[in-house]
Amino acid sequence: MALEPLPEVTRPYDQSFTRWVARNVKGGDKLALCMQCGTCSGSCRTAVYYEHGPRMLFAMIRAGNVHDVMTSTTLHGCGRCYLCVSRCPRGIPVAHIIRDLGQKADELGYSIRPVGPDGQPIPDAGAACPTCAAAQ
Amino acid sequence: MSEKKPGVYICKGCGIGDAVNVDELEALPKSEFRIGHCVKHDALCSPEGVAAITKDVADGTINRMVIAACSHRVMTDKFVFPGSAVVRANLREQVAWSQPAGDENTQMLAADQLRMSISQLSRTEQPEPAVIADYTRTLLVVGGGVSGLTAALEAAKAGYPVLLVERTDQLGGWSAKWSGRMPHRPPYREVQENDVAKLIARVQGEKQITVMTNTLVTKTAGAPGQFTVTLSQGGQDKTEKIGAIVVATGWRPYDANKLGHLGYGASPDIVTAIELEAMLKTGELKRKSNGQPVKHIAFIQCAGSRDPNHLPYCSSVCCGVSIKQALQVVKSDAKASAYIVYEELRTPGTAEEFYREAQRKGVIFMKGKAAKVDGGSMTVTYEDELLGMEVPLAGLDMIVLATGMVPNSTNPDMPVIEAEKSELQLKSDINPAAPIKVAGEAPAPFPWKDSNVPTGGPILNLQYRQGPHIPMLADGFSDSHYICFPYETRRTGIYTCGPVRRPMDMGESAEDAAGAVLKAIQSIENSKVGVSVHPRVGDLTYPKIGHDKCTKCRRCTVECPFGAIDEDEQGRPNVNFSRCRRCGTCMGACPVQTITFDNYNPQMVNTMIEANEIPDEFSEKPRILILACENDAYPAIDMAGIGRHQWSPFVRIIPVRCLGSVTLQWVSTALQKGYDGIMLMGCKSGDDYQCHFIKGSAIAKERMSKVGETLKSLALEKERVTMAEVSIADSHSVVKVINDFADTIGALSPNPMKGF
Repeated sequence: MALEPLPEVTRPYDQSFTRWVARNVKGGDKLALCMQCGTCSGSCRTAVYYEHGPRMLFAMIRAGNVHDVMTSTTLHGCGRCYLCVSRCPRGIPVAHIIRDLGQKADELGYSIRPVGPDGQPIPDAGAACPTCAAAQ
Repeated sequence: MSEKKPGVYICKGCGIGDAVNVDELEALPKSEFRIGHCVKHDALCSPEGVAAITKDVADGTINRMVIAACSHRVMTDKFVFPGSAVVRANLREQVAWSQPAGDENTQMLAADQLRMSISQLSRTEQPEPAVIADYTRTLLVVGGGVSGLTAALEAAKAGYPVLLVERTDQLGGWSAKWSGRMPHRPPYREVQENDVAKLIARVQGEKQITVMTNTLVTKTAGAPGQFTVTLSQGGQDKTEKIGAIVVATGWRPYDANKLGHLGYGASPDIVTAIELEAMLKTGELKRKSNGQPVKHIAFIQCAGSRDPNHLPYCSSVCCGVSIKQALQVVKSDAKASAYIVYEELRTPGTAEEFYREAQRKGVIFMKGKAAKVDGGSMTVTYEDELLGMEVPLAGLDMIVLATGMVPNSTNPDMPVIEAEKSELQLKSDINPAAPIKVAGEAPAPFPWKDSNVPTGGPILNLQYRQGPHIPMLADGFSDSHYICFPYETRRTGIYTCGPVRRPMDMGESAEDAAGAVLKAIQSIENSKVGVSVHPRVGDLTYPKIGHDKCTKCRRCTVECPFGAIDEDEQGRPNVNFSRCRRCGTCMGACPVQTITFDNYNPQMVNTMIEANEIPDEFSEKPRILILACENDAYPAIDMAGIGRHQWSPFVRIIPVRCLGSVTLQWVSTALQKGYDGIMLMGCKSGDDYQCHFIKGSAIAKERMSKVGETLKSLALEKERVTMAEVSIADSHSVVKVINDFADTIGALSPNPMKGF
């Protein structure tokens, strides 16, 4: 399926971006279930190192902040622990949505990469979590 | 009155026989009180036990008795012997279950319980009710909105004639102006048809109901069962006999002109929810400024609500109203978008379904507080709580302020009488004084502000000693306690329902009306037979005032929590029996102790205090007197006994009807008798009181502030007299309160008055 171009958001909470995510991102249709409880952000080991926690990222998608979402370092910071997926009370595949959204951001030319504590870009692979990186 | 033939019955059941020496107790009535008829029994509440007492009553051996068994709060159905006064001595909860068995102190406590009860019996008369001969069954319902209409219908269904009074020219109140109503039937998702017209038709078709529109209540005098109400219809006065009154005067919208900070007045397209409702009702939803259709509409929730500068409370229905209006807008125009800017969305119960339906239909909910509203560019800037940033919502066609409800606890059509707008009359002089010991946890009382009182004249214009208003709670709502005593105002026979009592929607108002009507009917029926209404349901006694001793000091007429006592032309107190709730606050107020009840009076408690044996100062057995409110504190102590908690054996507990009925004389009697400490145990006072009689503990607190001088004149420490607030749920902490006080008293030297 070809990737749709990003919609233009004219007003806050315009639903065009939410719908774009629902159509183009794997698991994105589940986003509507989010009740902003913050269990995902509370569980996330890496959220503290990046710009936004998962809850905030989802709130931004809903608010239609396209640019902020697509350039967020959070999209590439997931450490794949999947605590958010197992803990989400509404069963939203949080980590999967974030990872796929990151891929779509790459495809659309947003090539922002998070930088680790050592100043080096963190490789977008399984062991991106700086907690582990620091421990190694 | 025939000859008094007292008898004493002592029960050995429930562990009493194991804890105390019943044989010793059995000898006590004869040796100390010359009561020959004293019987012990294995289980008095058994059919055999009751039969034995019934036989003694039937053959004329006794006509009044002390039953020394369990607390007077239980087995009330067993120990009833018509025509005989019954006094209960609490040997179970407060002796056998809460003190070590076989102990010397336990035996002394049991003997004292018996002494107190026998003395109580000596001052107890069989009460004769004050019956109203010419009572009226007609109910007056003030207000013709949903609450008033439902109240009238419910009363008519119960077979009572109703007079329904409405101040405008048509029935229906605010609800007649609504374009639809929030869902009240499953599946609770759709905006439902406004069915108030059907309700009006049912009321008009009911023969028992007389409707009077364009009518104001100008004067109300009398008491439940015999109110005289003057009504003014188009300038013509009319007097009606009324049994009880249901006040369903409803609400008025909060004045949006005070909401300049939310842009009201800056643009014709910034409207209140009421103004929008009018547009939805006519079906012409257009911008007021240029007549263009409304494509983008924003609702600002809590406009002037939950705001210390405006209405401090939540009006509870505005969230549902905005959801309803947003759904109506979205439904009428599929291209329209509706935004609801909320701080906390309050959709209790089934309204949650309605909220979800709005989400499904695409209404956009934005969590945050509206910071700025610009009427020129029609922009709402709000602090988005989920994004943590300010979000501007620009280019709106209409901004709706969801304003709150102000209770019509005063009549906006009647002039404010300045002399009568005093805090004292509205609040009925609740005065939370200095902080005192609290058994539970208590939040700070709600600050009373004059601005919380809705402006206007009195609703009923009561011709009462305590003023024309129905007293209000701190927020200005006419009720006496939202949770414990709903509908009951502080004026017996007058019940409020609907939004004048607390904010509510049409469905809740209808339910509320049914509740208030039931209370009103009870009030009529009780006044007919001369018994008290809630909370002392069934009490036949009433305050008797000895006019020969009365000094016309007026303390009773001022302090009565229910405004039951008026003054006659000569300034003497005049009790309206059916307005009285039998708390005894007047009795505690009377400086010459001339107000008495048949089975509760100052002399009775005095005798009970004096009846106890006070060991001498070398025995190391102090004596502590607890005067416990029998609504909360006494049950809490009983519950502690049922839980087998043990407390100091040196306390002697006397139940009182309310702390408001405690006179300072009892305190000085106890001190002179040789008690080492005195504690008053009552309910929580202040604006968030739990007192069944509104301000009994507050009054007691004020009276006790004067006890210091008495103590000083007797050269006694001020720690000897104290007060504690205990709620009915404090059965665990009450033991600590008692024991801590006992420790304090134990550390002091004995009362030097012992033995004098």
